[in-house]
Amino acid sequence: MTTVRPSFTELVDWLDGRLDVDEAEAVASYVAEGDPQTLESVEWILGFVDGAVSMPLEQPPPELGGRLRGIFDRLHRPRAGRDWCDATLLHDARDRARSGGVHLAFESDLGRFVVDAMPARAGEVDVEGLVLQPPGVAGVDLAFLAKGALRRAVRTAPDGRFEALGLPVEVDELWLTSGATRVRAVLDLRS
Amino acid sequence: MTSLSEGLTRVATLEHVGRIETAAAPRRGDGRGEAVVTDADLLRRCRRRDPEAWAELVSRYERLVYTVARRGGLGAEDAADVAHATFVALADALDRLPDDERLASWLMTVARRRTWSSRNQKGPNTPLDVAGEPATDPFDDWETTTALHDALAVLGGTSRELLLALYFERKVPSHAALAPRFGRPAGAIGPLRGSCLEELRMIMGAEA
Repeated sequence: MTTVRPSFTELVDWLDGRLDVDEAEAVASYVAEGDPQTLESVEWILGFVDGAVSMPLEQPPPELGGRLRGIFDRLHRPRAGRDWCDATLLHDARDRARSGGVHLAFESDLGRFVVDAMPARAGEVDVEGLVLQPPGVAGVDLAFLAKGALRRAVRTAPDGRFEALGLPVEVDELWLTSGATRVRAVLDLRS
Repeated sequence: MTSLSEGLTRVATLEHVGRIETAAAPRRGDGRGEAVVTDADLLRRCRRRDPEAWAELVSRYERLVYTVARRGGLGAEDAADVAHATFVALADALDRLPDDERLASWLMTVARRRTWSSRNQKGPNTPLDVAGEPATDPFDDWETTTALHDALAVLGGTSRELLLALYFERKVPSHAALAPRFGRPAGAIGPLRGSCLEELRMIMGAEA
């Protein structure tokens, strides 16, 4: 029977089966003595291992990292270059008398999309909309800007719907991005 | 006796009262003299529009976010889209995050919400696409799992990477296989692992 308290690292190695037979027996006999500090360490290590193995990390597709890194650049890159196209306003309805809502519809290279804005708190609007995404497009990134500054970023749901609550009413521009296609729409959310 | 979950609860409390080193200055890491760049450091740089800081955050959390989506039953393509939506949400919330020190759990929670939303849109009968997983709650013990990843983030640097490599992979690599990656001889991986775990335990406030 050993009287030397095993180190934390020795306990980790023991639980992992990495000690030779003599060392393992010495640690086992000390643990069997019921030393509270040692038992607490053993319990903690086992709890950690249980927590770790309960959700092992998956390996994402290799292209995902580039896609995620690109999000930041696309949201903040100044609107320039030949990869942009402007959306065409198809419909503009404003209910000044009653709800104060704004309903806009556009045509674009990413398909048609609608933007509905309803007054929320002072100086803010709640925006909902739908992008009729082309087949094979899982989602579109949307960036709402006011005077060129990013105010909100959202991604459409798989069915093309999106929502941006509490947007400043000064938002005057919307960027839509899917892959290499980038669309700009001029917005006026004031009723 | 302090269990892991009790320790994890305590770490959250300690973080709030500032008893754990925070991101004001890079921490010294695992005894290798490595300065740890914390999540809070990276978030601050992202707020200054630094794309390299964003790339580092993606590198740190891409797998974790993707894993949450896969764990929630999504196929590879849908899980990648959830990861995409989660990082768009992060870009959007940069100035509104509740706690920079708990980015890991914030990302995991957003990913989980997006996962359920995606599954609901595809219909309630969509079969789970997690090979070999039992038909139990895929996010059982969520609080412990998220707190564990928050604590690993506080640990940071090479220490976090080593523990992820040793304990969070489906196939556990040998110490010899890990040695070159961590610039150590194979015989040094065990002691390093022990000290990393001990530091993590200390972070969790589970010291006896």
